[in-house]
Amino acid sequence: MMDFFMSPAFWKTVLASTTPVMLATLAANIMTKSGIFNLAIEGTMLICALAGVIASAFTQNLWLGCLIAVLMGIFVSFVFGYFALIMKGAMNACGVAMNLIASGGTVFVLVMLTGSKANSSALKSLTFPVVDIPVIKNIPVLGTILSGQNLVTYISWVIVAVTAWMLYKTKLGINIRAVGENPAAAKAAGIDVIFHQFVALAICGVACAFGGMYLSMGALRSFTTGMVAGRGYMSLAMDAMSQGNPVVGCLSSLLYGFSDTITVYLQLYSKIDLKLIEAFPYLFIIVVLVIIQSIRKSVARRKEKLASLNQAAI
Amino acid sequence: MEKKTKNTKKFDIMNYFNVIRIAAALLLSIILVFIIIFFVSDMPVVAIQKLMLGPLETKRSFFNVIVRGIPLVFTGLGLTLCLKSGIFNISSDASFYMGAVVSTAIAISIPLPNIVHQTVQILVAAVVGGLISMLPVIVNKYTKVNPVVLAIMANSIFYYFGLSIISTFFLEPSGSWGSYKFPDDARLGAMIKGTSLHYGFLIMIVTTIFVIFLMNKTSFGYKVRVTGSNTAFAKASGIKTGFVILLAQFIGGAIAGMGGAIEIVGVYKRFQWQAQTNYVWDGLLIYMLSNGNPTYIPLTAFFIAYLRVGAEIMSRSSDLDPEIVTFLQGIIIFLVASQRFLYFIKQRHDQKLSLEQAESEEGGATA
Repeated sequence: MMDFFMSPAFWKTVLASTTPVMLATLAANIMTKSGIFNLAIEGTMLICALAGVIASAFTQNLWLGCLIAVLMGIFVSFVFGYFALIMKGAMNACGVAMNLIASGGTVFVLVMLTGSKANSSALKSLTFPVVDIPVIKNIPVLGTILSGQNLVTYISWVIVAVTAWMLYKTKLGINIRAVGENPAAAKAAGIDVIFHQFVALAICGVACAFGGMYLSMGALRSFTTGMVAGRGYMSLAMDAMSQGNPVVGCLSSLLYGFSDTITVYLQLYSKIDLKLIEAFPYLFIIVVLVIIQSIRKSVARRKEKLASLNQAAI
Repeated sequence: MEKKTKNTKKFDIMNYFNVIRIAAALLLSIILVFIIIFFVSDMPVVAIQKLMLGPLETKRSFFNVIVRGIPLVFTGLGLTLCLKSGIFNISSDASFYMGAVVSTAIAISIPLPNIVHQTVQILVAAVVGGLISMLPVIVNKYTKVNPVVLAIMANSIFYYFGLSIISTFFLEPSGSWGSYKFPDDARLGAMIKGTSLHYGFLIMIVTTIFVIFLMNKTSFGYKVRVTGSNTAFAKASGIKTGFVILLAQFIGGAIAGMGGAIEIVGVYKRFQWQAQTNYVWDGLLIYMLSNGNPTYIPLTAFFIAYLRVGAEIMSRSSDLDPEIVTFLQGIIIFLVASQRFLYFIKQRHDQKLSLEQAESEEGGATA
């Protein structure tokens, strides 16, 4: 029954189902680094998933649709930012508000356009192609896993790499991190706090847009109601695991992809109640988090002890 | 001295600033929704009329509003306790759903006499709901994940958990998806004959009074409020903040769990909730509209229930979807949550006040 761990197809599915959460985790990471708690990632992804479908269906141009969805993602993030940062709303409440607007608004727009409350299959929307990488696809196991993924998966890796480079190697990134670390100190040093937070929000919006589009224009061929299904919230847990580091965040989102794929396989091969298995990713992530944080704590404690011992020796 | 008495007598509109702010936010967002309706609907006037006045048209839909409001009052009261302690713990849905599941289990599997049966159901549901509500705070201590995220995850986990309990042990094999029927002595009867109003309404009133008393008249309520507004200060003044927070979560969750039990045995004949209940978002809006004061919770809860029923009536007689109310809720939360919404009024008033004060002080000095 456990043979599926060995098959390349399993790991290929892991990479595929990691993609949306990886993008959402990246969004959560950059939000944490800039000192914002953005619960609206879930809603932003949902809105962008629908926006991409509608825009590509009406323009019949994949890249134009993609661009409109990305702009939509930035716009939605800015609305959140306007209420949370400029109007000084509580960030939790603003995030919840955005998610309500997203879940209500997408259904409303969907019914207006297609007459269906469930999905957008009436619209002829476009999808991102599956890409084969020339050289890698010929390598036996690795080729099956890495090649033949959706285009958005490759885009997501590029986005993660670029964002990590931007955060740690450029002046803009350092400023963003300074703002997140201590806004008052950053302001005293002459950094425009609100501007840098909005730049971070824009990047968050782009990442959310691709995450949402992967769901409705890659993994599936149409938009279905509530299709983000908690991935945005999950990404905030991954973010706590990675403590805002995009590269670690990328790896920890693989954990979600892994548990999500296991869920599918378990539903096929085991006799446990289907609905109970669906709770597995959540529980798995929480257990892993508890373990990781306790290891972190013990490491910190040991470091402290060593430091005090060294001091005593001196 | 004379001036002082004059000042206290003077009616100051700024005392009602919060009320004005919330009313303005409501009005603004409703107007926005009206504008949207005018743009997208073919029969905007009918739609708006049904949305706003629909629930008053028949006796049946009016009582529907009250029945729909009962679970919202429980969620709102539960959230008041959880949120007032300073933790944004929105796991009420988990407590609510599991409360209903536990109540179903007891109703079907344990035969007990009337009244005792319902009491046991509601009390056990309350304990289960309370324990669930404490989980996000406890897990937060070990994982450092924001309790909001943990609470939302708990809502999903316990939904799947409860659903699989029902479908493994209590599922009626034939017919549509649902548990076995509840026996008559496990249900809450109709309070007024010929309507859907059940005795849960009375329990709701008692619970509301209990929460108002607890929050405003007891030392525990005071401790919760101090902990919520300034944890460091509360700790420094000798309040055991951890204990206060956990107990507040327990009571809040217990109220939500009671709500679930009352809703399932009051309104339904058997357990049929296949989808996740989304009472917590309504509860959050209710909490924010009542400005965290439990006295106003029933009022705002019935307002939201009114909107919900109105939207359903609207969708039946026009081309609009009732989900527009969810959209409306989001906008209201945005506006009410923004501290700077209508802030200029308060600012101008404060400036005027301080100017007056400075002038009067100056006058006193020269005289």
